[in-house]
Amino acid sequence: MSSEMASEVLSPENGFRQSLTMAVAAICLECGFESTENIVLETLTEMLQSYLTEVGNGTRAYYEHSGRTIPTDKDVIYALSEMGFRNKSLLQYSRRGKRINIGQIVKTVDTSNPPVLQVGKSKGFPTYVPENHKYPHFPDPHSYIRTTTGQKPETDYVILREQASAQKRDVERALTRFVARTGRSHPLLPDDKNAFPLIEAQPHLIPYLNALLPSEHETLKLFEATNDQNNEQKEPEKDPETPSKSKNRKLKKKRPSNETTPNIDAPAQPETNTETPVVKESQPTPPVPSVIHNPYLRPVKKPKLKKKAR
Amino acid sequence: LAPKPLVTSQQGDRKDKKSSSFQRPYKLSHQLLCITSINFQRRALMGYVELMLQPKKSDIRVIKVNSKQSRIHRVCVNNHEATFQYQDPSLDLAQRDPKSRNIDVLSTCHLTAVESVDPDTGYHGEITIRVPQEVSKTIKEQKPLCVSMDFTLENPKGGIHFVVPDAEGSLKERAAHLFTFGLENCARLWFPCVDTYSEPCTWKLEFTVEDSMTAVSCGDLVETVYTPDRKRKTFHYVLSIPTAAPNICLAVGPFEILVDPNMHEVTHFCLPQLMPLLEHTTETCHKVFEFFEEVLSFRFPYSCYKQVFVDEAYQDTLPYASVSVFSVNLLFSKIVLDQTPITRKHMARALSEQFFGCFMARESWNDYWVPAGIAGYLYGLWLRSTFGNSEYRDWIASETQQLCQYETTVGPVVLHNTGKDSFLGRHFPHQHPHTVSPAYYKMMRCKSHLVMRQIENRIGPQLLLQAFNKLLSLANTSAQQKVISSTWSTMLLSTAGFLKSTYSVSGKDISNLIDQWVHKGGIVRFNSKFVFNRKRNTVELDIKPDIINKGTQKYVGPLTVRVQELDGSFNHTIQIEENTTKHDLPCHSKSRRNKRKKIPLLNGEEVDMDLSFMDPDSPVLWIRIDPDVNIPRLVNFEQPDYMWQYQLRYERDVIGQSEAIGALEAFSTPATRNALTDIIENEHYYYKVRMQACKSLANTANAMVNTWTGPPAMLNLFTRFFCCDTSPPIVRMNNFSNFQQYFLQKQLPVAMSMLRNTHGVCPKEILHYLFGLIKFNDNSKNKYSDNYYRSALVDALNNTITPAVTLQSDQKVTADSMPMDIHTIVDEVTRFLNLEKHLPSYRYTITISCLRAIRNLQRNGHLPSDIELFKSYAAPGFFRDVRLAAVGCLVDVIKANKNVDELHWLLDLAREDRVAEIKYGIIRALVRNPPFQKGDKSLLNNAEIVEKLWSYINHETFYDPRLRCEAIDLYFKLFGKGRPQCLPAPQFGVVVNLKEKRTQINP
Repeated sequence: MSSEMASEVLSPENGFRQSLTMAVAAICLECGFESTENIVLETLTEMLQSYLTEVGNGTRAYYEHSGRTIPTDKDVIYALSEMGFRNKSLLQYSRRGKRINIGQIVKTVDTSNPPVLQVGKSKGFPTYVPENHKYPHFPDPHSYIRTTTGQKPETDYVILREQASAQKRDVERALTRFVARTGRSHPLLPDDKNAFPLIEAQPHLIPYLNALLPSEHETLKLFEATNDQNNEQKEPEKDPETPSKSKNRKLKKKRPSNETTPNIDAPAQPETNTETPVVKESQPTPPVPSVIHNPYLRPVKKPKLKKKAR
Repeated sequence: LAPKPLVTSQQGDRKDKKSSSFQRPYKLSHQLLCITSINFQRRALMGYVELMLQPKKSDIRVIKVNSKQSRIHRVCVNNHEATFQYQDPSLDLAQRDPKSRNIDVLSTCHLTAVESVDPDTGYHGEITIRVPQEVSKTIKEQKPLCVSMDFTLENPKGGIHFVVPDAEGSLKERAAHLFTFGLENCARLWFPCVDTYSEPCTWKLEFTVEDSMTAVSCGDLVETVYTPDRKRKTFHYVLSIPTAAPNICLAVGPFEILVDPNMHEVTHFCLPQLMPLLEHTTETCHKVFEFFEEVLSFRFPYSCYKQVFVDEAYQDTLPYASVSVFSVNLLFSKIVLDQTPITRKHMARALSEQFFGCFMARESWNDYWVPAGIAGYLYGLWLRSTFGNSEYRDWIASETQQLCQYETTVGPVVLHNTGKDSFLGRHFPHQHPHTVSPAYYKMMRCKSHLVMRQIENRIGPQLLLQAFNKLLSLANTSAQQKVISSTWSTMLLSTAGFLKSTYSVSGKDISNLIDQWVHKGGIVRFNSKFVFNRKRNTVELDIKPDIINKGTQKYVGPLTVRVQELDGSFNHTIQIEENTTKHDLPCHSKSRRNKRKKIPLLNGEEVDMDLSFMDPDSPVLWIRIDPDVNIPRLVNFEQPDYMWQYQLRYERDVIGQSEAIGALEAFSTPATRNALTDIIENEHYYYKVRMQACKSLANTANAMVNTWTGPPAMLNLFTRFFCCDTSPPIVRMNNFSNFQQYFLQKQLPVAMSMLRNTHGVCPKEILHYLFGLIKFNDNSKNKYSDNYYRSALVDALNNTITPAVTLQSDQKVTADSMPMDIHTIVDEVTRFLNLEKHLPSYRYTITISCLRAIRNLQRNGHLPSDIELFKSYAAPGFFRDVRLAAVGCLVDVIKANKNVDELHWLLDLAREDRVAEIKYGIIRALVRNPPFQKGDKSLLNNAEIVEKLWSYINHETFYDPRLRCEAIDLYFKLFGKGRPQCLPAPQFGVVVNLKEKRTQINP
C-alpha cells in the first residue's frame, strides 16, 4: 500500500506503474479481449505489481540468506518456484507466436542516489584477500570508528549570555509576530501595516484573574518559593495541637487591659464563643478544642418552619 | 396638615444653633435589615427594614428617614400602614435656576440640597412618614415605635454594586458578586435608614442568598439556615455594638473562605481561584492586630473581623464595622515585590479605622478630623514599627508637602468649620462630606493626622495614647449597656470631647493649637536666611513669615532650629513673634580651633569630614529650621551650597537629606555632583533618598551639560552595581533579594534616561546601554517577578524620546523612514506589549508602561496619533489599571488633537460605565490634564460640552457624591467660576434680574 501512496508522489514510480498497465493491456489483447473497463485494468495491474513485488522480496530473502548483496539468476528462479511458478513454462511463454509490441517504455528519470559523501578514506582490504575478489568495499571509516566532535562546547560567559538572550528574543519575537499575523492585529503605523503589528486587545470576562495570578512561567518560581518555606509553614496549619497553643497566646495577649469586656477567665472553651447568647441556645454542642471555630465554617442548618414566618 | 409647622420650627432651630445642639425627636435603638432575595441577573434586591424608635417628644407627627434609589412599597408604624412622601433635591440641583451655568450657583444649590436631607443638620430625610392616628397614643406615652418599610432596589447606580461578568456558566463560575460602597454616609442608597454617624443603634441583619453564595456583613454570624426549598440560605448577623447606618455593609458572592491560621476570629474572603494569593496577602495580618491592641492597650472592639476582597471596588479600602472591603487588586503572590508594602499599608490603615471611624464614629462632619486623625496617627505608629523610622519620617514629610502644596495652590483646608463662609476662595463648600472636592477630602485626612502628631508633640505620646484608651474604654462601657440610653453618645467622637479627654489625661490645654490648625485653614510659610557674626560668635537668623500668598496663615509660637556645628548638633527653640524677624543663636564652638577632630552628629556618631570647603571663620556646618516637621510648613531657607552638601552627606535624618537634595538642584556644580554620587553609592542611606538623589543627579548633569566630563552620570554606577564584573556592559542575572538595591536598580535607568546632551537629546551611549539592559535582562534564576523592573525599563525608553526633527503631517510614517533608535524603541515596545497578551505581568504593569510610551511617541511626532488603540484598551473587560492608563492617554490625545467627538465619547463612558472607579478615573484624568483651560479658544470649549458636563453634575451623578464633586472640579477647571464664555450672554430681563437678586448669579 505504501508503494502505491508513494507512486503518486514520485514520478519514477508512476512511470513503472504506467508501463505495467501497458503490459497488462497488451497481455489482455493477446488473450483476445477487445476492451476493458478502467477498474478491471487497474485491478489486474495491481495484482501484477503485487506479484512482482513478492518475487522481488523472495529473491532478496534468498540472496541475503546466502550472504550476498547482489542477486543471481538462481535466486530469482528459487523465488519463482517458491511461489508455485513452473519455470519451464517461462521459456514456452517467451517463444509464443503473436506478441504485441508495447513500444517504447516511458523513460523514467534516473533516480540513482546522489553520490555518497565521502568522509575519510575507506580502508583497503587486507593482503590475504586476492586481487580479483567480489567483496564489497569497506564503508566510510566514520561508520565504524568513533571520532570526536569538532568543536568544544562554548564556555565564554559573554557569548553564552548573548546567545541565550538572542534565542529568547527570537522566540518571543517569532511567537508574537506569528500571533499578530495570524490573529487580529492593530497596526501601529497605518501607512506601514506590516512594520509593527500589535496583537489586538481582547477583553476578558474576568480581567483580574490574568492580572493577578502569576502566569505559567512564573508559577514554577512560586513552587520553588513555597517549597522553601513549606517546612516551617505546614506544621502549624495541620498539627491539631497548635490551635490550642495559639489560643493560649491569644489569651495572654488579651490581658485584662480592657476592664469593661466581660472577663473570660475560663479556659479555652468560652473563648471561642464570644457571640451573643442566641448562639449558645441554638447550638449547645460543646466545642472541640482541635477544631477551628469560625461561624463561616459551620454547617448550614436545616430550616425551622417557625423561623420562616417573620 | 400637621407636618408643616413642625418642619418650619425645625428649620428655625437649625438657623439658630446649627448642627451641634440639634436633637432628633426620637432615638434609634435597634434596626433590622432583611434582604429577602437578590437577583443577580436583573441586578435587583428586595427586602425590608424595621427601625425601633424611642420617642423623645410626645408630639411627633412625622418621621423622617433617608432613602435614595430604592422603591418603597409599604410603610407601617407599629403595624399600622402609614402614608409617606418622597423628596430628594439632589436629583436635580439647579432646579430653581435651570438656565444658569455658573458653578458658584451650582455649588450653593448643591450644599442646600445635601443639607436639606442630611439628618445631621436638622430633622431631615428624603422620606417623610406621616404617623398614623392610631399610634399617636403610643408616642404620647413615649413607648417605642416600630417603623417597618418594604423596599426593592433595581439596577442601582450607586451605594451597592453588582459585579456580574457577562459569561456562560453558573453565578459561581462567573464569580458574580455584590458589595456596598459609598463616600461617608451613603447607606441610604441601598436601604432606608437614618443615614448619619451620630445615630448608632444595635442591628439584626438577615440576608437570604443562593446556596453557592456567602453573605458577609457586620457583626457576628449567628447562624446560617436553609430556606424550606433548600435552594437558598439565610445568613443571620447580630451586631450588638451600637453602630451607625453608614458603617453597615454587605458583600455577597461565591467567596472562598480563609480563616486566619493565627487568629480564628479573623476571616478573609476572596473570589474563586484567588485563594493562594489570599493566603499570602493576609499572612501578616495578625501582627497588625497585635500591634494596635498593644499600643492602645485595648482589645479589638468587635468579636470578629472580616476582610473581603472584591472586584471593581469603589476604592482600595473601605472600612465598615468589623468588616473591611478591599479591592481584589491588592492581592498579590509571593513573587511580587512592590505591591507588598502597599497592600500591607492599606490593610493596617483599614484596621486602625476599625477602632476609630467604625467603633467610635464622628459626631458630625466637623468632627471628622478626630477619628481620621487618630486612625492616621495610629497607622503612622504602625508604619514606624514595621517599616522603620526613615519610612515614617519620609511619609510625614511627604504628607506635609502634599498638604502645603494643596493649600497654597487651591485654598485652605479647614478641619472644624465654625465660620459662615463656606467657600474660602474655593469653588466648593466644605460643610458637607458630599460637597467637598475629593482632593480636599484627601487633604483633610492628611491634615488630620498631622494635627494629631502636633498634639502628640505637645502632650507626649504616652499621654495621647492614654487619652485614646480612655475614649475607647468609655465607649466600650456604654456599648455594653443594652438599655437604650443617652450614654451611647460617648461612642461618638467630637472635637470638644476629644479635647476634654486629652485635658483630663495630660492636664495641658491644647485649645490654642486646635484654634490654629483645626478651626483655621492655611499653612505656614517662611523665607529665611542667616549671617554668621564672627565677633559675637552667633548665627543671626532672619525668618520672615509669608502671609500674603494663598493658603498661608500667620504663626506665632515656638519653632525649633537645629544648628550643626563643628562641636555637635544643637537645638534652639526660638519664638516666632509678630514684629521681630531677627533671632540670634549663640554658637557653641569656636571656628576651627582643633583641627583633625571628629565631628559629633545628631545621633551620637562621630565622623571625619573634609572641612576644606567650608568658611574657615564659621563653625556652622548647616542649619535646619523645624527639622522634625512639627508644623505644616514650607520653608525657603537660604544657605550656601557647601552647607547643603554637608547636610546631604552628614545629616542622619531622611527629611534633612531629601531637603538638601531638593535645594541642591539650584547649585549644579561638580561638588554637588560628587555629593549626590556618594549618596547613591552608599548603601547605608535610605533607599528613597538614594532614588531621589538619582533624579536630582540627572537634573544636575543636564544643567552642567557643557562642562560635564567623563561618562554620562550614573552609567558607571549602574555598571558597578549590577553588571558582570568580567564583562561589564552585560547586566547580571536578576537577583532582587536585596530590596534596597532592587529599588535602585529600577530607578537608575529611569534617571539615566532623563539625561540630555548639548543638543537636548538623550545621549546615544545611554540609549544603547538601555537597549543592552533590555536585551540581557534575564530573570530565570530570580525568586521574584521582574515585571516592575521591566516596566521601569520601558519607562526609561519612554523618557529618552524627544520631539521628531521634522513634523510634517502629510508625510507617511513607515518603518524605514524612522530614525534607527526610534525604530528600535518602537520595536521593543511592540514586543513587550505583544508579549503581555500571552504572558501577562502582574497588574499588567508592562502594558501600562507601553501604552504611555506609545502615546509619548505619538505626541513627539514619531508615530501618527491613534485614538482607536487607546479606545480599545479603555473599553470594559480590561484590567482596571490598564483602563485608567488608556483613559489618561485618551485625554492627552483629545487635548492635543482637539477632538470633540472623542471628548463626547469619553464623557459618555464616564456616564455609562458600570465601574464607579473608572467613571471617577475618567473625570480625574480630565482634571489632571484638562483639555483646555478657562478662556482658551479651543474647539472643545463649546456649548455642547458645557451642557453635557452640566447635566452630568446637575442630575446624572446623584448617586455618587465623589463623582459629582470631581465633575464640579472639572467644570471649574474648564470654565472657571463664572458663566462659561462660550455660552451666549444670559438674557437680561426683569424676571431674570429679580431672580438674580435672589439667587445671586451672574456677577
